[in-house]
Amino acid sequence: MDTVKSVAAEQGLSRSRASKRSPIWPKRDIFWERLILSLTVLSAALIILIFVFILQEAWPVIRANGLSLVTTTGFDKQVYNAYYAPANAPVWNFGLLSLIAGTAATTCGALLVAVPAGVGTAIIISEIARGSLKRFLLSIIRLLAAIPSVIYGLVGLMVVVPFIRDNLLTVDIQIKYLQYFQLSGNSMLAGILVLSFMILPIITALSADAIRAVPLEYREASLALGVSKWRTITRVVVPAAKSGILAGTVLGTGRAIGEAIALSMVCGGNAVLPSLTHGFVFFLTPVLPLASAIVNKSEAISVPSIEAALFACGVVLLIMSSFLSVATKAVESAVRRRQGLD
Amino acid sequence: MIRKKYLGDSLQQILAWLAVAVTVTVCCGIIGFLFVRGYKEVSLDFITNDTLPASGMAPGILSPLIGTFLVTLLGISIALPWALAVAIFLSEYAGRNRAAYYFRVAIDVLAGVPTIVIAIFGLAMFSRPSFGFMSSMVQGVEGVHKAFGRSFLVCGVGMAIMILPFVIKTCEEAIKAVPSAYREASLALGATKWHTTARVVLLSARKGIATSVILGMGRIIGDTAIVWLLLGGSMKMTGRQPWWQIGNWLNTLKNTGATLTTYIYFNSPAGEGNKAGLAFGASLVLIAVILLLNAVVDVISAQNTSIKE
Amino acid sequence: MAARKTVTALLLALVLVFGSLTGLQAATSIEIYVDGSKVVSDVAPVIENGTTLVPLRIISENFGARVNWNDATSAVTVNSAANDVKLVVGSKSATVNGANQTLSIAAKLINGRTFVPLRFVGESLGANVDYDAKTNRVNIKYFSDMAGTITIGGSTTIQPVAEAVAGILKGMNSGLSVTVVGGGSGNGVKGAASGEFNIGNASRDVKDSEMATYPDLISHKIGSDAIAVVVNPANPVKALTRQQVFDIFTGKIVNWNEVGGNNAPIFVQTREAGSGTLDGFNEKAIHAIDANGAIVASAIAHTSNGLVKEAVANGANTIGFISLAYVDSSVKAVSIDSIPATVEKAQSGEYAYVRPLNVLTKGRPNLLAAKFIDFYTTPKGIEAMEEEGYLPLQ
Repeated sequence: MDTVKSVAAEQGLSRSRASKRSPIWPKRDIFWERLILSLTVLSAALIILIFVFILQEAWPVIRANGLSLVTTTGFDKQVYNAYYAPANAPVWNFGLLSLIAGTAATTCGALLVAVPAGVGTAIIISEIARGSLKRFLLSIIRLLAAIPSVIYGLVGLMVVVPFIRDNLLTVDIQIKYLQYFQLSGNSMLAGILVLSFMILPIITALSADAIRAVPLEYREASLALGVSKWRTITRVVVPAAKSGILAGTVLGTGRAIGEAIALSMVCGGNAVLPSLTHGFVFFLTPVLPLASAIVNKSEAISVPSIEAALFACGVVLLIMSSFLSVATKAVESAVRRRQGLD
Repeated sequence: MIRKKYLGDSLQQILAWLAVAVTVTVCCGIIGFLFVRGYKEVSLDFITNDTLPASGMAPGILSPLIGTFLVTLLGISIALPWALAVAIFLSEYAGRNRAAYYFRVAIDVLAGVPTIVIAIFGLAMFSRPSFGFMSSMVQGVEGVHKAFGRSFLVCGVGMAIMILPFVIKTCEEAIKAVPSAYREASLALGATKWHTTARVVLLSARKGIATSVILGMGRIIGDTAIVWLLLGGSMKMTGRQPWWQIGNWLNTLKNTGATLTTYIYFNSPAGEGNKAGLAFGASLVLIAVILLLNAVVDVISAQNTSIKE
Repeated sequence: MAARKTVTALLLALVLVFGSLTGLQAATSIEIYVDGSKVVSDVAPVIENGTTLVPLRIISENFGARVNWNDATSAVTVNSAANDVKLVVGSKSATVNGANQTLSIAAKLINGRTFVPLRFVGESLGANVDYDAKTNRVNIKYFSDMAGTITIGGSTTIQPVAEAVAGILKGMNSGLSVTVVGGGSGNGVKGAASGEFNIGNASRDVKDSEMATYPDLISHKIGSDAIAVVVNPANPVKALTRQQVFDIFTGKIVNWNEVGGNNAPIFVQTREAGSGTLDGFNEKAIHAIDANGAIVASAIAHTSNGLVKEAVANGANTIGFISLAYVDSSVKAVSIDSIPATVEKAQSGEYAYVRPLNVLTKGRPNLLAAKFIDFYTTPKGIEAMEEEGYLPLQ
C-alpha cells in the first residue's frame, strides 16, 4: 500500500512539474497549490515564532542569571523580594530548580501510576473484554479523556485534598515538619493522583490501538507453541506494541508537564524542593510545578522582572516539551527500523 | 495440552482488572460527585439567566455558555481551513523528502507545547499595538495607544494554535484513508491533481474530517489556561449591549467575556468567587455539553471501531 | 374712548395677575429629572430670574460628585472625577477647573441650606441640561449620556463591584462598552499608569515608590473594606491584640498557648505577592507596628481569599486574613483590641484593619471614565458596593 502511494505521489509531483509548463495547466490550481504550501510553511514556522517571542520576553532574566537559573532554589522568596523591591533597584535573581523538581516529581509519579494502569486497562479492553463490557469500558475511557482539567482540579480540591489531609496527616507530623514547610492536604501526592487520571486515558487509548494492531499471526504462533493466553499477551503482544505504547506514554508525559490549572489547585503552591530524607513525607510535600507557577504568580506580573521570570518558566517548559517530541520521533524511527518496518 | 497457571500471571491479571475497576470507579465517582453537589443549581433559569451581578435574579450561566460557544466557533473556523490545507499538502503533495520531514517535526513539536505557554505567547504577541484591531484599543488616555491584548478574537487565535497539530493529524489520517482507487480513477478521467484532491478526495474524507472537527471542538471547550489569560477573566460579556444585535457583533468579539471553564475556576475556592455550588452546577452543564459532542462523533463515525481520540 | 381704556387696563391687570400667579407657581412646580428619574428633595428648588437653584445635596446625590462647604469663606466646591467647580455664596464669579466664569445668579443660603445654580453646575460637570418649557421640566442627562469604551482592571476585590456598576450603566446606555478584568492590585496600578486601563482598581493605597515612578497617577477613593483575622471555629482563641497579631504573623509567637489557646503550633496563611489584601494587611497590621516587619517565611501563600478561607476552615491550628465580605460560618473572625470585626465597627473607624478601595487614573480621566467613577458614589453605586459586602464612603 505504502509503495503504491509513494509512487503515485511522486508521479503526481513530477507530472505536475512537467505539465505546469503546458498552457493547459489551470492557473487556479497553481494558486491553490501555492497557497497550501505557504500555509504549511507558516504552520511549521509557528513553533519557531513561539520560541522567539517567549525567549525574547524571558531574555533579561536568562542573561542576568545564566545557568544558575536552573540550579538555584527559593523561587517564592525571590518573587516576594522582586515584588517589593523599589523601582530603581529591581531584583533579577531567580532560581527555578524547585519548580523543575516539582514538575519532574509530579510527572514521574503520575507516569509510575498511569503507565502500568493504562497498559493493564488497554490489555483488558483489547484482548479480554467482549461485547458490551468492551463498549462500556471504551466509553468510560473516552469520558475520562474529555473531562476538562478545571473539573479535575475542582474534584481534586474538594475530594482528594481533604482525603489526604484527614487520613494521612496527623498534627504531630505537621509540627515536626513546620520548620521546613506547612503540611496540609495540598501536596505532591494530590497532584500525582489527579495527574494520573488525566493522562491515563491517553496512554490507554494509544496502547489499546497499538495492541490491536499487532498482527494476528503473532498471537496464533505463540498460542500454537503452548503459551498460555495471558503470557501470550504479556510476552508477545505487548512487546510487539512497544512503539504505540511508547507514543502514548510520551503524549501523556507532554500533557503532564504542561498541566497548569488542575495542579495549581491541588499542589500547594509552595516552591519547595522535595527531599527524600523526609521519608514518606516526601510525597506530602507541597510543590509548585513550572506551569502552575505561571498561573499562581500571575498577579505579580506587573513587575517587569517577575514577568520575565515567568516567561523563563515558559522557556524551560518549551525546551522540555520540544525535547520530548524530537526524542520521540528519533526513538520511533529507530524502533521501526529495528522491527523492519522502515 | 495442559497450560500451567503461574502465580505471577494470576497476580498480573488481578492487577490489570483492578486497574480497570479503579478507573471505572473514579470516572463514575467524579460524575457522581459533581451531580450530587451540583444538581440543585441546574435549572432552566440557571441556563438562561446571566451571571451575577444581576439585580435580584438568581445567578446563571448564559454569558459563559455563549462565551464557550463563541470561542469554540472562532477557534475551529481559524484552525480548520489551515489544518486542511496543511493536511492536503502533507499527504498528497509532500512525498518523503527532507523538507516534508522537517515540516512534520515542527508540527509535532507544536503539538507538544503546553497550553499555558501558548497563552503567555498570545499575551506577549497580541498586546503589541499593531494587533490593536483584534482587541479594543484603550481610548481616552493621553499619550497612549495600546492594545488591550485580550479578547474573544485573541482567544480564538490561541485556541486555533492549540488544536492545529491535532486537526492536521486527524485530517491527514482521514485523507490517507481514502482508497487510492478514487484518486486514480479521477486522474484517469483527466481531472487535474488539484481538482482530484479538492473535489474527490476531500469529499470522500468528509466523515473523518467532520469527526476531527468535533474532537477539536471538544478540546477547545475543555481548555482553561488559554481562556483564563487571553479572555480577560471577566464574568460577563463586555461589548456593547445587547450583544445579539448584529451591529454589536464585531464589538463583542473584540471585547472580553467568560466561558464555562473560567466560570468554574472563578467560582471554585481557587478563584475569587465564594460559591462552590455554582461551580458544580456549571461543571455538570459542561460535562453534558461534552457528552453531547461525543455522542455526535459516535453517530458520524458509526463504523469506526478505533478508540483513538 | 373711556371704555377702551378700561378694557386695556383690565387686560393689563389680568396679565399681571396671571403673570405673577404663574411666576409663583414656577417657583414650586418645576420638576427636575436626572437620567430619566425624578429628583425628590425635601426642600423645593428655587427659581430666580429664570435660573433654577437647587440644594447642594441634589448635586452630590445625582452626579456622584463630592461637595464641600467652607464656613469661613462661604465657598462651595464641587469635585467630580473630571471637573472642579468652585462657587462663593453671594458672589457672581465662579471657577471651573481653574478658569474664571461669571454667573447670572449667585449661589445663596436659604434657611441655612446652600443653593447653587443647577444649569451652571451641571454643565460645568459635563452633564447635558435641557429645560422643557411646555412641561416645566428640567431634563438632565449625565449617566445616561455615555458612549464609547472603558477598560478597567486590577484588584479582584473591586472587580465584582465594577462589574455591577458596568452592568447598570450599560443598561442605561446602548452605545457603551465596558471591559472589566482582574489581575490583582499591582497590575491595576501599573495598568492605569501605563494607560492599558482607563481605570485601574487597587484595594490599597498607592505606595510612595509607585507615586515616584508614576507621578501623574491620580487616586480616587470609592469605599473601603475591612480585613478580618480568622481562625478555625474550634479554636478557643476569640480575641487578639494588635501586638499579638503582629507577633504571630511575623513568627515571634509560634504556639497558640502563648495567646490563650491550646498547646499547638500556629500555621500562618498569607497571600501571594501582588494581592491588594496582602498589601492592605501589611500596611495596617505589620508595618503600622514596625516598618521593617515581614510575614514569616514559612507562611503558605494562597492565590485567593477563598483558598485562605478553605485552609483556615480545614486546619484546626491555622490563622489567616481575609476580606470581611468572605467571612462566613466556616471560619471565626477574632476581635482586635476588643473591637469585633463587623461592618458597623469598620464604618465607625474603631476596627483597626480597614483598607481603602481606590480607583486610579493617569491624570484627570476623560469624561466617560469620570462618569463611571462618579457612579460609585451615587445611591445606586453605594447599593452595589454594600451588596458585595464592602463599605461605601461616608
